Amino acid sequence: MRIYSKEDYRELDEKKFKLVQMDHDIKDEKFEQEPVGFFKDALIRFRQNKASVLAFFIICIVLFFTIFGPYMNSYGFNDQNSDTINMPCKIPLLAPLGICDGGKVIVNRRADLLGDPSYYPEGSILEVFNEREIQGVKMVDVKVDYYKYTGNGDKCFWFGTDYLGRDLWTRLWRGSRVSLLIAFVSVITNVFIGVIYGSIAGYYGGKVDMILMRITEIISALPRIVIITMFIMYFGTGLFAIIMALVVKGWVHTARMVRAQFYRFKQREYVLAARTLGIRDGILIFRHILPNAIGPIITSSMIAIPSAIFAESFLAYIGLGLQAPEPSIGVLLSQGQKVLLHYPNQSIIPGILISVLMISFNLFANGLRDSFDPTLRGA
Amino acid sequence: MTKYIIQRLIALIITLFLIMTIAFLVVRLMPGSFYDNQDLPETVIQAINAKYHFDKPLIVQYFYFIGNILHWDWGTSIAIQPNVPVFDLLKTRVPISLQINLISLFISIPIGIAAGSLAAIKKNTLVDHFISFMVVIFISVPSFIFATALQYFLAYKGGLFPIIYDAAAAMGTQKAMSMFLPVMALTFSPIARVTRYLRAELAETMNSEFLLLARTKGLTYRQAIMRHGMRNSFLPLANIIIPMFTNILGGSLVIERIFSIPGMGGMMIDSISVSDHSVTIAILMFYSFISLVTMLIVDISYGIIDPRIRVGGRK
Amino acid sequence: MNKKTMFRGILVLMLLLMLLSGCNNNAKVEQQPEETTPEEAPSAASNVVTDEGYGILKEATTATVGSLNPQTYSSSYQSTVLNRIAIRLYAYLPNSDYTSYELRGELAEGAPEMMDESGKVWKIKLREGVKWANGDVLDAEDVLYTFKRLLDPKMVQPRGGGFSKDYIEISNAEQYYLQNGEGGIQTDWEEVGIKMLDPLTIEVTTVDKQSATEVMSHFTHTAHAIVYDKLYEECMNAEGTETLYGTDKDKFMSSGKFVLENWIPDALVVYKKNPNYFEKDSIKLAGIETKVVENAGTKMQLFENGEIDYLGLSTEDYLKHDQDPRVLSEPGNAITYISINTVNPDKPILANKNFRMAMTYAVDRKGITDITKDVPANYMISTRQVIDPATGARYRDTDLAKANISENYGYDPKLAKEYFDKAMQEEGLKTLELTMLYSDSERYKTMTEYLQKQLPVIFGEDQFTLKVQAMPSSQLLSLKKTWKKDPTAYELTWSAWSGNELAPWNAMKYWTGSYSRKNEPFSNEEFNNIWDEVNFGESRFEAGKKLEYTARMEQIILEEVPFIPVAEGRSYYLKSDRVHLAFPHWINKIDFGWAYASIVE
Repeated sequence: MRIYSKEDYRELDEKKFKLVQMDHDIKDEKFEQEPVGFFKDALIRFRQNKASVLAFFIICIVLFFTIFGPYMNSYGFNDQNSDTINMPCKIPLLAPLGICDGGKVIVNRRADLLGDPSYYPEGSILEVFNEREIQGVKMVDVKVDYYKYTGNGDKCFWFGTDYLGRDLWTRLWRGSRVSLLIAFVSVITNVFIGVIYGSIAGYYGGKVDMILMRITEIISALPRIVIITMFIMYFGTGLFAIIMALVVKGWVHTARMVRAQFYRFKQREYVLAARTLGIRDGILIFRHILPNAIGPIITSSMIAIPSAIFAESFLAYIGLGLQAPEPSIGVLLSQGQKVLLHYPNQSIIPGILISVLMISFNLFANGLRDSFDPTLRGA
Repeated sequence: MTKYIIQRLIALIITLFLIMTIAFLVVRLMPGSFYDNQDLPETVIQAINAKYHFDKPLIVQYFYFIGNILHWDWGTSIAIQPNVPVFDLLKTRVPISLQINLISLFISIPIGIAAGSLAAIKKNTLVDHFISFMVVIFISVPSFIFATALQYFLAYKGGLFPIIYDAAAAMGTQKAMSMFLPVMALTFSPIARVTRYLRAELAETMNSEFLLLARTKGLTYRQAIMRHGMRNSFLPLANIIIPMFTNILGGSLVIERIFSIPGMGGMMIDSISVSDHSVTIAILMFYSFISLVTMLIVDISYGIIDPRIRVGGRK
Repeated sequence: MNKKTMFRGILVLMLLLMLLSGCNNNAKVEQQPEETTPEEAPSAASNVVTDEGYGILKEATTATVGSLNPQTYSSSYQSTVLNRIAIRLYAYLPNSDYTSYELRGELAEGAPEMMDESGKVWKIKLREGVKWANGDVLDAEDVLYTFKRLLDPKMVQPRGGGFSKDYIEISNAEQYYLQNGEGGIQTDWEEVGIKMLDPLTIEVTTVDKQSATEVMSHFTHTAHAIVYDKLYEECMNAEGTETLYGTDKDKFMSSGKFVLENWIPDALVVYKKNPNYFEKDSIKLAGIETKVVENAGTKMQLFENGEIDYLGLSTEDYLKHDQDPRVLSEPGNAITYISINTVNPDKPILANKNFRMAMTYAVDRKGITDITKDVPANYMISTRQVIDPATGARYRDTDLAKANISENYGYDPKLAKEYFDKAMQEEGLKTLELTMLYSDSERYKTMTEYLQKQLPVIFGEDQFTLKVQAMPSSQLLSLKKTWKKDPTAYELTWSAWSGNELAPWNAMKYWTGSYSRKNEPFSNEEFNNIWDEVNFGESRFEAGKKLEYTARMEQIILEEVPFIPVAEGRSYYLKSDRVHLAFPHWINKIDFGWAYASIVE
């Protein structure tokens, strides 16, 4: 068998070559359709996921109320009124169904005062039950129209009022404004820091990884409460302090996750191939490996949004929440928790809102993850 | 591998030392001291400060502190349980919290894994939707609402369980009964987290080539997931279980309050708010130690779970 | 395949359910005997007081006790616990017909005897036959040991200062106690004014002339309860600087009305009647069981299920029971007031008296307390304080005290605005922004948010803004105290002050010029002089003088406005019918007397 050298090829006459497909149409020379970009493709795939689209609309509705809700009635978020403390929900539309009709059971009332209009104004008593005698005094439980009972028959608080008589509808939407702001800002910052940090640690490995990971260990070992107390000592209980407190430890989780993804993918064959082709580190990291992590990042950061609202509520729970009188979902929730068995509407309504946000962000995140997953591209 | 583990152990000690230093500085720089808040004459406070070397410069105090730690002397509590060595203080509380939290974790991980794989296997069926719905409920309803509701309906109204934790009872049915509700309240969130994560991970693994290969080999969808898919999804799962483990140690504050459990839950906040510095530092070190060790274990097990990963390998 | 899995799933579920229901049955069976135990005893037993007593009083508390060593005493709940299980020389005990308290000897046999004319040397005779729970004899040696440790210069126990000088000043005690400190003088124990004359007699030498009541009052303090010398010494560390006495149920020896049976910190205290107590017939209970329950809702559920016998009501729970005949109320204890930092260089207006007057008139105390369910207060000596311990007359019931309360609780928005405008003009200010710090409790939060809204309405919203800032309570407390080093530490904040139940004039030391640890800068010469007179002057023994002086001191404070009293806290309790109280109502120093209650089934 003859072995050809470079020189042999040079000697070949150019004329001996001919273009094989000269006469044929090249079918795959060009896409017939417009090329579909990464994001456009993602959008197409996202639209196919009905649940995610629905979730997206719910988020939009919540955002709508967050922006316009506080202006939908005449009460300001800090309008106090000592005559309307801890009122139950009253929504005229739902009242015929027997819920949110401003009714409330007040227990352990003296039976002899039932006829006294200074205690029970005209028409306020709906039902009297559970008659009993305690130490020789007749006691009853009374279901009253709490609005008439307190002399506020003409008023109407859709979600009730709090311990200072402030309208909870207004406070809820104003609160969700603040909470979402805290959540978005802190999550975006966390992802930004976490992705860069995690990529570097995961990609370079070895000593770099060792040192970077030890730093995250130190940070995550310091309990949040200590860090928060420090921040509050220096910056006060403002929006900034709370966001910072959420960021200081929050990014570590993202960083660890991204690093794990890098460990998982950096020795895959396609990465090796790309590296053989002499691709720079930066491009390898952000173009070839990181997209694999986008799924988990998006899922976890979308879920981190309601979690951030939770974390903020923990701060409120230990008394280090936002500066009064500014409400937030967390502030309302922690306030409501203390009176959960007395005025359930004060914790259930913010609870429902946070659940709805959680569900929506969750479904929305699922859709996003599927649509950004490079392995599912074009599928 | 051995070399790597030794390296990591050395790093662990250095990290602990750094954390200790930071903790010392952070805690000492926080304003206020226990005796400042008491209604004591200035001369008495000066004398007490002199006894505990609080009148010396910070750096000298630091050396006293390190010296004591080397003798395994974590100092004594001054406010929470005056005169009790901090180590003994933790010794009585840690087991209670640990018991409840570990039980709840050991219950929730298998349930979570089972529910997660079931949801992935039955992807987009009624079962999957039901599980996903429960997950969302479990995650998004704050634990205090669950705990309060469980206590109110099962214990107070139903009379099935004791309302509060029974600290005096010896190990046995009575104790187990009083632990039931707090454990249950604590399992909801981890179950949901594990389920959700595993389902997402498995769903992603479904699309990889090796599973396609497994299917072509003749395995059923379920067999393919159980034998090949699961192994692949354990790695990221480990990643969410560690923080869960460390969180669960300190995160049950609300539950412990509701069920009156004399555990670690409120200790950190209590010790900070009464300025019991030695206790704060010791708890801090305890949490750090636990979280560092779990992280180390997980990192080492990476290589065991996923053979393609060579821990510490270069790019 | 699918059906099979489902079937299996259902099976597992059924098994689980069976297990669960099995557990339930077990629990029911186990619980029953426990609940019925008290009923087994004959119910007639409640009339006759036996050495064992009858019935267990079940309590729940939010407070916890960190140590049973009396010498580390720091919280009022600790004193509740220790007063049950530790013995003191003197104590406030029930009088013979259970209508009031009586200051008399507990370990001491009778009132102290004055040894010479100067009134500086006192002899205290101890009861014979008093025993520790283990049967050992409790005598003057234990007493002497207790006081020696309390003043130990190496241990520097925080309560040593109070022992050496409070109602009485024991000669050389402080010098001995602080001898190792800066500028300390070497002092021998022999020089301290406490001696043992014989195994049943103690001699106390004071610096000033004292009355017998003052000597007795001094030894009623919880921190001065007697400790068991052998155990105390055993629990001491090698350097002799710390002791583990009282840190564990086995490291404590009872000697009081009850014996400590079990103690789990943060969870449980169990007491049993002490058959060796000198007045054992006054204790009818067989024991007390106290659980620590932090959550108000949980406590209520325990009460309604009969697992505890009484509880303190939260505001919400009180509203559910305000017409309930079972509710017990106690007279107000602490006065909540707004501290004003008058030396803050950043806000010189705080030093302006007109401004402080404006603040006083602007606080709608009635409005605030309608929300917090407290009692409006524009005075500073709370309802429960007694002006004449001999008769038990309350200060607030006297005419002089009533004269200090102004109409409408001092709320007058018009006058407030006038004073405010005057102050602003004097200071040359157009607008004013002040910051109010508050600790994270529910009450302070409500009050702060109320003022944040109301004050600008009264002063003019374009002129006045109140910024508010929450803080952990301990940090707030120490921040307040730093005004001396850092005058800008705070502008406005909240404080509470409970004074002294039986000696309101004494507690006024808080606002004297020389008192070092006060929250707010205030000094007034007339006030200082009156305080010295009422506490140490000869005229203090004259009838009616104490009331006159106290009322004048209160008046000075209200005129000078170094702070603004707002409300008086009030507590309510709910008691089950099976508990019968020995006292008809709340009594000073004894409260409701739960320890003296009896159980009737």
